[in-house]
Formats: sequence, structure tokens, C-alpha cells
Amino acid sequence: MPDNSIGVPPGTLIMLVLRILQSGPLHGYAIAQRIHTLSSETLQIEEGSLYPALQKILLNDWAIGEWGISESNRKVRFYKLTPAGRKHLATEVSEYDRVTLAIESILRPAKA
Amino acid sequence: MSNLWRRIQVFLNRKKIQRELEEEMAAHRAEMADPRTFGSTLKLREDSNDAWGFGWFDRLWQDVDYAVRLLRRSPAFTLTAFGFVNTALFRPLPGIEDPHALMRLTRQAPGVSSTNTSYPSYDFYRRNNKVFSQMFATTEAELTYNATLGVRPAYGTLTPSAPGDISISTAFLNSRFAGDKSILNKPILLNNKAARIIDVVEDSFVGLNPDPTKFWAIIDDHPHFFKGSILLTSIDNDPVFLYGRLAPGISPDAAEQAMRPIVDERRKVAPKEIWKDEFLLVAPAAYAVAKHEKVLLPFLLAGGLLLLVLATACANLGNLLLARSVTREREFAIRNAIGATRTRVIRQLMTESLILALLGAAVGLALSSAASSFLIKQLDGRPASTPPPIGASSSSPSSPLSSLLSSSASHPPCKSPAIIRGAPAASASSSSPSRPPPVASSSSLPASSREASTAAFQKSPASLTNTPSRLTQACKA
Repeated sequence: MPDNSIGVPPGTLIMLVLRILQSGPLHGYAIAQRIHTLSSETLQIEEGSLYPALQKILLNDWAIGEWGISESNRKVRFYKLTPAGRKHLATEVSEYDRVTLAIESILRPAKA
Repeated sequence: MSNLWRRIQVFLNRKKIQRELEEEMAAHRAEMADPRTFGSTLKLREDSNDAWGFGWFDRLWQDVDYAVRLLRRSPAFTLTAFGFVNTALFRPLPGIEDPHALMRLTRQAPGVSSTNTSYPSYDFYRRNNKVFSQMFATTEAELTYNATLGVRPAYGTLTPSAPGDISISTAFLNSRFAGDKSILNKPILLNNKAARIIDVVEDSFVGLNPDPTKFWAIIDDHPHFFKGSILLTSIDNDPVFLYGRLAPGISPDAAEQAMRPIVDERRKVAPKEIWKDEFLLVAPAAYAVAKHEKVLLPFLLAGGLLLLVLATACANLGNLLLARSVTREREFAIRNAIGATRTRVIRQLMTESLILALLGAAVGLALSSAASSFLIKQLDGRPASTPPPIGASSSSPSSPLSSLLSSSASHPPCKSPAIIRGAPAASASSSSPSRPPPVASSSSLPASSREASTAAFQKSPASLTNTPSRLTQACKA
């Protein structure tokens, strides 16, 4: 585990996972990997939070689980985004944008 | 909504889902460069289950399961069954139809009250009121009374057709006639008068008196059984108890109000008998408490004692649990060490106590329901306050003649053992059913029939001999 990696900010994990799934179905390990690489190895997902998050996604029908075979030939569950998941992602992202903007506008004057 | 539906489905398939999750995590672990960084699969799985919102159920189930196993492992640590409830007090007496409508009427006036009234007054009330569908008077008990109470005949009929027709209790049939139903409709002698058993009252009915009732006769037959009886006509004494069955839709209060003008009317006719401002208190009659005011106090005392016992039992049980938890310290330490939180352990102990309490309550309820029906029966069958039977050859099985009479504990020793013989053989040899055979033993008839009528007309044959010097009954073919 690289030393500079940090955990995912609370409340954003589900959004990130949904965003990752937007480009196609993935299994748990691959999701974690993808987030890690896409964030330039900054974000490190703990399995302890990934699987509860995935369960929550299933529960809300934002994605469905389909069993398949991984690249390394293991039986894994692929998570596939549903229309509901897409919709939820859009809401989450716009919420997130608003929040970051608000936070920035507070932080910037202070920096300046 | 669909969310809830999915939750339910998941809940039903949780075994499968957990297996899948496990499998999925195993694959994840295998993919990792360093599988050791993957945390505890078990903990992960539990956390994931929490997402579905039934982790609490699993934990509760775990606790319950564990507690039950523990209890099973140490059966010596069993529950103290307590909780004898006196709900029996508030349950109607058995064998009475629609007991809630059955009321007892008590005379009340400022500073005075009486349970008794005169027969003519009763008759007046009965004829003039509209709030009671039926009214009846008893000098303890009699046959019309049974009909009004709605007792289903166990055998025979309840409709008396001739003077002297009586009903007897099942217990009496069994003790006196060895359960032989052929005694029905055979002539016997009662108080030296012709009588006929036309009915055996069903077992569950115990009558409205604290004392055991052996047989019932019609109050109108009072002069038949007691020569010169003025019970039905005299207003100089108050020999009867007053009962009524509320008409449909009438409350006890409404009945009480409706009776006031009737009592006032009665005062005009019998100014000496009815007190100033007298009214009739209408209260439920078919309950053990209402029935035995005298028994209420002991019952309450017993109830208070029971509460104390209960408190002691609670304290004992608490101590026991405490002692037990001390010996289980090690277990808790281990659980703590492997990750159980404090609250989790507390919760488990709570669950254990809860299970203990539930088991205790279940057993307690079962016991108390059995015990209280038994007690009510005892109460009616054999009041604890009555002395053991005394009298000549009282309980000797070889002398059935006297056993009948001595079976009422309340009557004083009989100098000339009063006799009733109603055995089938005896009646078979009797020449005519309507004219009973001569009396075996007889002292004197009541000197004052008034006394006789107030003495007792009811209960057990023995109470007919309540005044043995004056009354004797016998029958012999």
C-alpha cells in the first residue's frame, strides 16, 4: 500500500463506485483497483467499506449483480449500473459539485 | 416500496446471499497482491449485512440462540416459577350462563344495609320492574334459581312439575348415590316430606353460596318442606336474597335508578319493612369476590403475601444471576478480547434475562391458570373456614345414611342422626311414589315454623337439619 494513499472522503464512496460502473460492469476487486488507479493512486478503498457500499447499491437497485468469470478466471460478481443508478449518480454528482463550489468559495478568499 | 420488497426478499434468502458475499470476497482476496491486507471476512460480511438493515435481527438471534444453549447446558439453573395471579377473583364463577348480567340486589339506606329482604317484597319487585329480565329470590338456593342461572341440566330436567321436586349436585350424586343416575325421579323423603330428584346439576356449577350446595328446591315449596312456613307471606323478617338478571342493554346503574321508584312504591304498601331512603344496590353476583365478601380479605392477604414472595423470588433470582455472571467473567473477557463491544455483551446478558423472564412468565401463567381454577373450585367445594365434619358416624362409608347429613360441615352434631334414604332399592320397595314411606326416625317438627323457614332451605340436606332438635328428615321404604 503506497504511503501517500488516503481513504475516500466519507459519503462519496457510493458516488465514486457508481461513476466507475458507468463505463461498464465490474467486480468488487476491479472497482477498488480502478478507483485507486484513476485517482493517481491517491485514493485507497478499504474492503471494509467497499462491500457494505456495494450491498447498499444493490439494495437501492442502483446496480444489479451478475455472476461471471474474472480476467484471472475466478467466479466473481459483476456490478452493472441500472437506469436508477445512473439517475442517482447524476443527482449525487450535481450535489457534490455544488458542495465543492461552496467549499472552494470559502477557502479561496482565505488563501488569497 | 420496492426497496422494502427487496429487503424482504433478501431477508428470506439471507443464507444464499451471505454465501455469495463470502464467495465474492474470497475472490477479491485472491486477486490481491497481499491478501493479508483484506480485513476479517467475517466482520466484513457482518458489516455488509448491516446495509440491508437486519443486522440487529441476526445479533438478536445469536443472543437468543446462545442464551438457550446456555440454559440448556445448565438445567439446574432453572426458573423460579412465580406469578400466581388472582385473576381468578375477577373471573366469573363457572357454570353460569351470561354471568355479567347476573346481579345481586342489596338493600341500602343511609347507615343501614342488608343483603336480605322479605319474600313479598321480592315478589313485588319482580312483578313491577322492567329492568330485569328475570328476578329470583333464594334463601340460599333453590330450583328456579338454577333455571334462572342458566345451568344446563347434566341429566334429567330442570322443570319441576310437582311439589317436592328438587335438583342435586353432581358431587352429591356421586357421594351419596355412587353416581347412580337411576335415582332420578324416584321418590325420597326429605325433611319428612315427599321429594323427588328430577335433575342433577352439571358439575361446573357450584352455586352462588360459599358453602357447598348439595341440592336445590323451589322456594315456593318451602311450605311443602316446612309445615306452617310463612316464608312466602311474612314481611316481619327478611329471609331471602334477591337476585336479578339484567335485561339486554340495561346497565347496573340504570337498573338501580329504575328500581328506586319501585322501592318507594313498596314503602307505601309496607311502610314498616322498607327503610327511609332505601334503595337497592345492584352489583354483579357471579364473581367469587362479590360472592364471598368474607373470603375477599384472606384473598387479598394471600395476594399481598404473594407479592412479597414474588419480590423475594426476584431478589433471589437477581442474586443468582449475579453469582452466575461472576463465574462467567472469563467468558466476557474472551469476548471482549476478540472484539465484542461492551454494549454487545450487555445486550447479550439482557437477552438472556429476557428469555429467562419469558420462560418464567409462560410457566407462571400456565400454573396460575391451573391453580386459580383449582382454588375457585376448592373455595366453593370446601371453604377452609369450616370445621371438619362432625356428628354421628359422619364419614364412615359403611353408614351411607348419615354420611349424607354429616357432609355439611356447618351443622352441629346431630343427636338423632337424621336420615335420608333415597337408594334405588329403597324406593323400589316403596309402595307409592307420591306417598313416601314412613319416617325412620323423627324427633319433633319445628316449634316455630318461622324459625324453620329462616333456618335454611337449601344447600345441603344437612342444613335442613341445621336445627336438629326441631327438624328431622328421614326416608325409608
